[in-house]
Amino acid sequence: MKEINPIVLALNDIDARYIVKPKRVKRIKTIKYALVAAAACLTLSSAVVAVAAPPTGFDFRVITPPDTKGVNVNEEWQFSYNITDRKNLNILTKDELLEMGAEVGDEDSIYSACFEEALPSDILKPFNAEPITLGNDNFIEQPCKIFVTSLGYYDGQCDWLDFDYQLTHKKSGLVLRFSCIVSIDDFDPIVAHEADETVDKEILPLNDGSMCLLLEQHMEDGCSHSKADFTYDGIIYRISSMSHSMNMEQMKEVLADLGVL
Amino acid sequence: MEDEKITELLTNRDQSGLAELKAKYYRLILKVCRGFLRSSEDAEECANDTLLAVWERIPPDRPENLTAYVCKIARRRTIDRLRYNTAAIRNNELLTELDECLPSGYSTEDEEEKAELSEALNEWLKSLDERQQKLFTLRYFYMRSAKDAAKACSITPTAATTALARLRGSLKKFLDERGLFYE
Repeated sequence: MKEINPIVLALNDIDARYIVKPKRVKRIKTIKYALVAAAACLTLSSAVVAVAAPPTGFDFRVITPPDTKGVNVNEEWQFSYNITDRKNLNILTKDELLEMGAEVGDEDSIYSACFEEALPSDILKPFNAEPITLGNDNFIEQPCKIFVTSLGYYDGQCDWLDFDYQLTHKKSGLVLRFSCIVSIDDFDPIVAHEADETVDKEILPLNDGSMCLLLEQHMEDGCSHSKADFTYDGIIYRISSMSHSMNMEQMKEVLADLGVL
Repeated sequence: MEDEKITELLTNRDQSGLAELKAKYYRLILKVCRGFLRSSEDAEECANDTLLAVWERIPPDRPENLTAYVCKIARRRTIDRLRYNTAAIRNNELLTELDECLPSGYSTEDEEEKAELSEALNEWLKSLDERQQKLFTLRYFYMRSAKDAAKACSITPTAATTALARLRGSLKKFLDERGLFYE
């Protein structure tokens, strides 16, 4: 007889501080109402508030002044990614992935292929995912661990493909982690919410009219970790530093070399 | 109503405390129960049992964190129910997921071992950042689906699935290093 996993049982005795009350999942509409309300509150309470109009084709709301070089800003930052269909995406079969050297998970519902030592372009090209990093000479490829993840891949319910890989920024030598999410049949906007007051935030306009959210977290040892979130040409990108320290300005240089600034 | 006020009413054996508890926490309790149990009827029964158990335990208990206290009771009640239903255990994907960290066959009959495992979990959770803690507890304490947990953390389902797989890997390594993982 299969018993209950001991971790499930032991979780009952974890420290109460880890058991935060889960927020109910908000629907997009609710968040839009909240944004309108928040914008109204800001207008009333501050003379400096300017709510940025969403750029064309990008479902984006800024509820704090766009020129705020956010140092520990208190307001909530919310925005949604705009994802588009990539009709030429090639969804590889399990056999094809195995041939390419992947270790493929056995679960039916959760699909995860892991390439232990591979060059990102070797994996990305067969998918026709075409992220902006492909063939970009400002970045150096080295063999790294690459994950390709999705849900429901085998049963035809695959919503997303998430490519997770590393590249080195040639100028700075910084090692960066890229997560590129390509949608297959789910184009609902994803709402991101950044309310952490200990993180510096900045909204950066990109050259296609969309926006990028830059985050910088200051560590106790004086170092910084930076992250950039944006949608470009219908693909969601999340870039973060693998190196010990990277500030926002260095991340902007990375974005410029990606050709999105 | 504030948690402190509800606890005070329950401590004074005031039945309105139970009504307030139900109004504030029933949905959450039901969600915890439904995370484990496929049958709505079973889940609702467990949720009602939980409310009754809270009423019976306060006093003498005086929880500092009512949410955690209520959810822990709900989980225990649900696990008890699950034990009677072996098919439900077999079909529960969450339990299978965690098997990669520590197999279900591993015995935790010994109280000392149970305490050791809980202590290790606390230590491991402490090493995670807030978002990782939230994702892990949403999935494995509150038993939310990966998709729901992803939405609550404002990340994509795929990103959540990847993050959860890495967290399980990290937990397995952590337990292994402490000699708590037996193949």
